[in-house]
Amino acid sequence: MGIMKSTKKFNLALLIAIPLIFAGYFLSVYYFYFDNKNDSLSVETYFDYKEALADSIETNKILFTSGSNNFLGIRAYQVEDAFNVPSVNMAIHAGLRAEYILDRLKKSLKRGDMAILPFEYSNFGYTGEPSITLNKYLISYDKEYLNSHYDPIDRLKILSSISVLDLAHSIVVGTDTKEVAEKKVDYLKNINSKGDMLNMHEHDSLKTKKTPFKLPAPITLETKGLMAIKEFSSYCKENGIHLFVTFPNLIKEKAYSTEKYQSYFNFLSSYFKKNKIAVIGTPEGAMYPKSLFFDSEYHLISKGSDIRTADFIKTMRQNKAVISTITAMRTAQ
Amino acid sequence: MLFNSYIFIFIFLPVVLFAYFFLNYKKLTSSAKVLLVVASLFYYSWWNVLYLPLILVSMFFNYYIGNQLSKEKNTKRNSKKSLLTFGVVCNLSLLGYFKYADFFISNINSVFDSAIPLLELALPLAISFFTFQQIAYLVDSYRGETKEYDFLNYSLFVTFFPQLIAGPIVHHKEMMPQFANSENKNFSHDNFAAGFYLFSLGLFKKVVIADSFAPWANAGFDVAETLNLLEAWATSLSWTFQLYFDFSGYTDMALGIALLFNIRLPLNFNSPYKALSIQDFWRRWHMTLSRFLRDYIYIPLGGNRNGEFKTLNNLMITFIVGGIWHGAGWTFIFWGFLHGIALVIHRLWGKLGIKMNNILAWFLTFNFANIAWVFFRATSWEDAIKVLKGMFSGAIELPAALANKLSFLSDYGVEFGSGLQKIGPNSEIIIGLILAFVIALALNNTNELVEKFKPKWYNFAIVAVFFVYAVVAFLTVKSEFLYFDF
Repeated sequence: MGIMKSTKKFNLALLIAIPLIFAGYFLSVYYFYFDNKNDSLSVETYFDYKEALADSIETNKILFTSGSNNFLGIRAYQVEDAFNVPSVNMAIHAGLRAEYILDRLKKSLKRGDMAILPFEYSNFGYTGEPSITLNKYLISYDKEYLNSHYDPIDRLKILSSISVLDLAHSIVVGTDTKEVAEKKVDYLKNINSKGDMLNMHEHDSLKTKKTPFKLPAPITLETKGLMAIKEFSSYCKENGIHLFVTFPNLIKEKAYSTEKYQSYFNFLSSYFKKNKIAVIGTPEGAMYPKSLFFDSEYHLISKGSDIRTADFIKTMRQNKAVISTITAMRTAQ
Repeated sequence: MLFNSYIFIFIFLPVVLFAYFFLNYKKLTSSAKVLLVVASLFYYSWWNVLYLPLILVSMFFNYYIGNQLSKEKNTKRNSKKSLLTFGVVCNLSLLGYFKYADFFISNINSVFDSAIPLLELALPLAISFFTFQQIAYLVDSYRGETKEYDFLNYSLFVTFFPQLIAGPIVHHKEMMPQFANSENKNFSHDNFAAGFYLFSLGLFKKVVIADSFAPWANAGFDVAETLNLLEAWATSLSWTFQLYFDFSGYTDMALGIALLFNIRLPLNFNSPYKALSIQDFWRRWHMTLSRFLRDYIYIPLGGNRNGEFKTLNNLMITFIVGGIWHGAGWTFIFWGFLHGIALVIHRLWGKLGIKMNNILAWFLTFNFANIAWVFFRATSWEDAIKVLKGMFSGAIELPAALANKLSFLSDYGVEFGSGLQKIGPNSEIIIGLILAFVIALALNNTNELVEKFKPKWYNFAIVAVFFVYAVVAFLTVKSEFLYFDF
């Protein structure tokens, strides 16, 4: 059995070996990691599908984007029917974070389009905490964004979010299996031609408690999520895109009528007003009873989605800015 | 700044370690101590600089009172006692104001149907630890067991960053001589190797083991509205192991970091889940808190010197105080009460002179601790009752995948369905719990491992792999230590 002759040698060997192991690990993740068992594959499948839908529309259109609350929330096909303007539901996953979701939406927007953002409160309140969903997706499918939007330290942090077991799994399983192709078909089976997810019925997980969402501290903090929306608003102004922010569908809780939450809702409204970002509806107007949700406080079942969409269309009709924008879009068609 | 953060591991610790030994190498020993105190206060302020004046005022105050107590050798006993009482009351008032005021007000509101507004104060980090440590210092000064130290040494005793936030709770007499020892001022490869080894083990325990149990415990306690029997047991066991690996992992890291500076902190854990009685458990779990409760509460109350009834009474009081120390809530008090009752029963059983079979003794002790932890973890009575109800009267629901092989069990009321699905994946939870039992019961604990430490290839492999694996696991996840809340 090899015995290191002294603790001095032991310590020096550690000093050399540990950085080398780190370097080897990060390089392996960068070059060999590929997520085909978690959210990344479904996210990529949905992006491909929804971006293709948006690209196929030549006239001006309405695009909804956010996390999954709107994937299963306001239905684009019903909005399209109601206003006679092509609409696509681009929403996918809240874990992709507002910055990336909005950056990605830019590819699908053209001058004269309308973008509606019903972001989750986790995205309004996003303060830069890491998202494993985003990290895995970027390493697997969008290295260009990874290399261009993060400094080296942040890139190392993102690479380090991949566990040894996940790395080993992706090396063993590989990237292009029959199973992956089958999964892609499976992911799209409940998505209609406007990007809405349909056929979500009651689920066992209704037995779980849904606690009120966590408020940022302090509530008046200009979070990274809000800054991303502000930056996107400037982009929209420069490129002739009509931007509207709205609030996510959410389980109604007593807590939301307390002073703390009301102050937060007021802060959001005044923040958008201050930054000249148009708002549709109110937080309370998007809250519904628990019986209309299934596995998350944001995920509506189909019946809930029907009600939510009808309510939202009504709110859109009452909003002068929305109506004048839609009229202009129709005229341009 | 947490021990398991890259800022601490890759910047703060190496810089402070290098600067400390460099100053000592240049014979600037006082400057080296100043550096450690300043670094420790910086470390403390990292969370919230608003807490800094609080710990500084507390230190100045206790140093002054302690000095007066140790100087006044010829002063009348009554005057010294008054000074000690004043010092202890001030410390407890500070703790009471920040930690217990809202608990007190909410109880007043409940009882008298009043609406006194809550203070909603943020709990200053480590206040329970540094307050207890300094109360012990005052009592020892009163007893004439302290020497006269200068403020720099006293500051180092209170603020030394490896133990500042969550212990171990140290005695001045076990720390001061180490800071004064000139041999400890030179960098030691032996201590560095052993300290880094211990730190890596603790990091792995916290980040890889404890944090794996956290989502299951959280799902069972905080998310699920109902739990079947297996889910309820898996929830309580997940918490039992999460707490142990989290706190003992933190302690290993604290001991390991201190050892890098050639300082040996007292042990805090000694395989508590191997205990064969509740008394044995408290000799192995959070040992420095047990020592504090014994030396500064149980013994001053009279200990076992005033008859059986008074002894049992003192045990109850001591453990209820222990419960309150952990948190301002009735569930903590009840947890302390349960342990007090268990100690009383253990003492009465001991009087009978009947030796219990070791396996049965372990089974009872472990399960008692596991059940009592439910009250410690639950954020409300309702959640505690929900978990206990599941543990003792929940439906037995095995995973549906076993239905074909074990269908005969349905004759005995066993159902087949989601298994443990409400709190996490079935196979991961089962494997996780089996491994945790093996590690906690069959393997040497980290104190034993570090005692036997030699610079051999397999220890090199353990340090390198555990350290890298744990760092990779935590870099993007902010996971605080559970005892930071106490």
